[in-house]
Amino acid sequence: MKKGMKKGWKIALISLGSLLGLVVLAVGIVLWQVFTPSQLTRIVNNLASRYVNCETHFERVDLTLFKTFPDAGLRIDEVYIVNPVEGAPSDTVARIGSLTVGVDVKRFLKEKEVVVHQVLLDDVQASLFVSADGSSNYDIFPKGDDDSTKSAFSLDSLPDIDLRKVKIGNAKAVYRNLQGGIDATVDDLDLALVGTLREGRVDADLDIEVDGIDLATSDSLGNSTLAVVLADLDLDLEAEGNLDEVDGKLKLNVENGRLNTRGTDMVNERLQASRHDLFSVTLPFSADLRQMCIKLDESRLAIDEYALKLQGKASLAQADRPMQVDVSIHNSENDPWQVKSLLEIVPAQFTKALDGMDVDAKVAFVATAVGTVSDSTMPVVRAGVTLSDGRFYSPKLLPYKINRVSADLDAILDMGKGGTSSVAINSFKAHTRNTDLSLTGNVDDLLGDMHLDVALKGSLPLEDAKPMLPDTLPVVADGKADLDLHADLKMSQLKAKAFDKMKANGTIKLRQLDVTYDSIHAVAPDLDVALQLPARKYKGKMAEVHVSGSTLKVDMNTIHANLSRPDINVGVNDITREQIAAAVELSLEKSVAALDSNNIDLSALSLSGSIRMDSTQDNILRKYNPSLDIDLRQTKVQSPILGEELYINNLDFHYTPELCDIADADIKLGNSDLQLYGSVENLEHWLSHEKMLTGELNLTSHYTDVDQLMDMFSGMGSNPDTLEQMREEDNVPKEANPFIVPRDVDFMLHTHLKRSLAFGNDLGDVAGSVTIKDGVAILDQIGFVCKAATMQLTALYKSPRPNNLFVALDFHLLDIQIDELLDMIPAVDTLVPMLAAFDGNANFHLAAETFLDARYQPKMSSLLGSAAISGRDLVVMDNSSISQIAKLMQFKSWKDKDNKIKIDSLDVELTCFRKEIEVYPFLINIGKYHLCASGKHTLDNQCGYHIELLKNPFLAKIGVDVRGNISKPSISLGQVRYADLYKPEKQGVVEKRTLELKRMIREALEANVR
Amino acid sequence: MKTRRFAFAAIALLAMLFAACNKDTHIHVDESQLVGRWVKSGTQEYWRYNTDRTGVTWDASEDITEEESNLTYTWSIDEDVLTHIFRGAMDNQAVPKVYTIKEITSTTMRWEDDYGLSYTLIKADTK
Repeated sequence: MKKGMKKGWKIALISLGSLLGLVVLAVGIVLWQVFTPSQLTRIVNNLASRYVNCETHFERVDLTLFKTFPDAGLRIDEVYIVNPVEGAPSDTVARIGSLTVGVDVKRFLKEKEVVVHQVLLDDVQASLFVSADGSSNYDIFPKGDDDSTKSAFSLDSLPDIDLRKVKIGNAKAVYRNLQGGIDATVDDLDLALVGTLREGRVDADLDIEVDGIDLATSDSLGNSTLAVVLADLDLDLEAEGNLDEVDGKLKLNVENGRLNTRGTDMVNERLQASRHDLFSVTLPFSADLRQMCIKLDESRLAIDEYALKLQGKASLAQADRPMQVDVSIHNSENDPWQVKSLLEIVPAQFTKALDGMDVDAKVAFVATAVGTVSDSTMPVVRAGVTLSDGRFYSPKLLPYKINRVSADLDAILDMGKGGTSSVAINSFKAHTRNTDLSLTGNVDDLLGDMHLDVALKGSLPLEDAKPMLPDTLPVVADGKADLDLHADLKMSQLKAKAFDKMKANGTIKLRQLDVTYDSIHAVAPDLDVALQLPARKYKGKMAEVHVSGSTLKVDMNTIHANLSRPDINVGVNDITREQIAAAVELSLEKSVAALDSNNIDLSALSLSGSIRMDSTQDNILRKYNPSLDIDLRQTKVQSPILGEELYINNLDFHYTPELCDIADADIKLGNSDLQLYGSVENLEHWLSHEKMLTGELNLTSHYTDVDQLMDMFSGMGSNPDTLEQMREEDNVPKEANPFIVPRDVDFMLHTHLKRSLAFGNDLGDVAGSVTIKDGVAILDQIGFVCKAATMQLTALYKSPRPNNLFVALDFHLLDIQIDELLDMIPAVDTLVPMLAAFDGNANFHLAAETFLDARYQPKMSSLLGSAAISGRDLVVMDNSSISQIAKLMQFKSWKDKDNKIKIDSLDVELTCFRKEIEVYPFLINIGKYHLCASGKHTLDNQCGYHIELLKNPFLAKIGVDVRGNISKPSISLGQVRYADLYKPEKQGVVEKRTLELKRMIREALEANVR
Repeated sequence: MKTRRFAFAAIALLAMLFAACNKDTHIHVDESQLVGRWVKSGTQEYWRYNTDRTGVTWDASEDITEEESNLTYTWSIDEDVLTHIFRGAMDNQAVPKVYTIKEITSTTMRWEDDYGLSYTLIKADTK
């Protein structure tokens, strides 16, 4: 039974198989016979003209069952599409060696629906062309009736697609777009696609391999804008899921290639030679195709070996919303990028600035981009950058390496309208040799007007700073600077140098400072510099600086200063102005300074005020325009110019360009103590030789050595070379050192000197005015006491030439002992020799002038003088001449009981002209006797005097002539001359003239007595 | 004693007699005769008389020039009496010098003072 059964099945199966084979054979024969290749070829060629506007050619069309099994396939060999367009490189748009389309037979037979399952193209060559006027050779399909009737594209409107096999093999394409300036070539493209879209669910796998892609673009002038060469491109796209939730992965690798933008090679040789792929992308994604959203998860983008991790989501713009992005990107924290090797793949054009530098660091970063993309908004990028193990070495810039560079930065980048970008410098540190610097702060408005709010701290050996200074700056510095600086400013302020709008403060602590700048050498063990911008203490000033320290030693050429506890405050206005103005305060304690052989040793100095700099001026006062209050205490000044030590116990003065107001000066100069107050004007004009230095000072003193002061101030204001030249021209002996009155000065001193030494005389209570005016010294009615006599002196002294000095005196001595007068002024004995014969008190008035030589010896040929002497109750001293005269005139009888000749009154007027002294007739009253005397004598002791007895008890008139050498004169009786001199009713012309001259001399002399 | 008084009286009488007999001769000097520069004979002492009755004197032997000299004066002539009034640098100084011209020509001039001392000057130039 079973055997029978088996046999039955066998027979049935064989029969069925035979029947099926017969059917197939019959269908095949029918198809072979009905749809022959020639008939199909004809049909297709005929149909093609309905669907394309150009010439087509299908070499052979044939049915295939096996190649597309189980689908029925149509294979077309040698497809040509020809559409000539002027300028196109070829009339043939495309040539396809083999085109096979597989169609679902069942669907076709059952539902009359053409469902393509397979499309196979092989050996494809395409030449696509767009002419300059925009016409293209691939515009071969007839246009629809009216595009407006087409409904909007929708994924849901797509028909089901079941592409089970799509392959393109060995495709080559050339694309030339003259209108767009595009040339592209695709070489050996192989594509494989399997995909379905069924009921809103997609499942696709796309593989593309291309041996090479060339793309070049140019602008309207034919200049290259972009050139891309990609070799061995491999793209793999997988997607699966419902249209609103498609999961997939995109992989793209480009092994090698080149990229040139506007002449710049973006892929350098190092990158081309790399064993790594030039570019690779791995994007696992989840997409909602309906909402056009994509979500990336742990994606990877890499150029060469530098890979970025990317994740996040993005949605394309829709009608109801803009494009939105929320992605993060970072490199590996565990494997940060090495900057040195990264720079190797950066095009050389971008690293030129780093030529010759050794730059390296490890960089790790993480960034997010969140936000919408619209006309006014862009995603906000937040990035955290960490820099570590950095180093920098550029011998051209710095002779040493900077290492241990580390940074921690947080940046926010908002490219949207009104958005601001910023960087938070959480830390930035660098180290070189012995220098450590750290920077923290914020930089806001990064892409606009950058706003920096940063703090710099560091410890800096000054020698490390030297390389940062210009080579032309002759600075050598040693020491250490501790910096603690803070700045709050904008880039626009920096560019505009708007320092008045910036804020900055901080301190620089200099330790063991030893700095040499040009010829200036400064040493300070500790010096603190505090900066403040804008100024706080000095309202309205742009900045202020406070410098303080324990000591500061400064050497500049021949100046050497050692300053104790310097404390300097400076407030300056806008330093970009041509005229910088500054408020200044300076205080010093025990300090010393030296300039050549000049030494200053002060106990305290305080200075405050302002300066206004004008660099166009040469005059130092005009260059700085100081307005200062200066208080100087216990200061010694030693200067060869002065010759004697100047000790300033206190000097308090206020200086302005117009006026130097000395409030109080208590000084000791040589032997003299001087207390001064008053004002000095025109100092700056005087320095420029425009005006005389003028001043009015009040001087009091306990003791003044006038002789010493004259030696000190001799020649002040005159050029020493000019003075020396004048001495040579004037043949001045070396030992002679005449007082040269200062020139270009106009000073008035109101003096009150309790004791003074002048020309060897001790004087007391000297009071009066002293004027020094442009080479002329004037003592104006100086009153003083000498040898118990009250005196008044007006004097004028000029020094036009060292060997031709001029002196004029107006001298009054009141109630002075005659012997003391002669002792004090020996010259009086020369002028009035007979004065020595009298004893008692007299008033003495003298006016005289003469030129002096360099040794102060009078030039007698220029001597001009007049004198008046008045005495009462004088006693005639005994000497041989008097005795002889008395003998002749019977004076013996005139003697009193003390055996002395007493004179009731004596009034003498005399003049001195060159070597001649002329005594005008004067009256001597001796009791009942009246005598008149006159005469002339010369300074070489020759005399010619006449003495006449005018009144006596005997009514006798006797004249006596005294002639010859004054020390041993010849005395004889002479002619009576003055009998009528004192009798007005009998005076003749001669007598009147004589008395008039006497009156003129005396009145003139006494006119100035106070 | 009486003898001495007599002698004194006799001398006084003689003196009055001498005084009564004193009589000088005068010359008339024209101002224009003085104008010019004069130099004292045998010296470098110059005297200049200007037409405006000002003048100056200086001694070049002591290294003083005309421009530097302090000895400026005003002068006047009354018959033969030549009066110089020197005004010093001090306003209160007035020094008269009076000489009697005893002789004057176009080239020479001779002075004499009240005490009989005479000086001869030679005209150096007329300006």
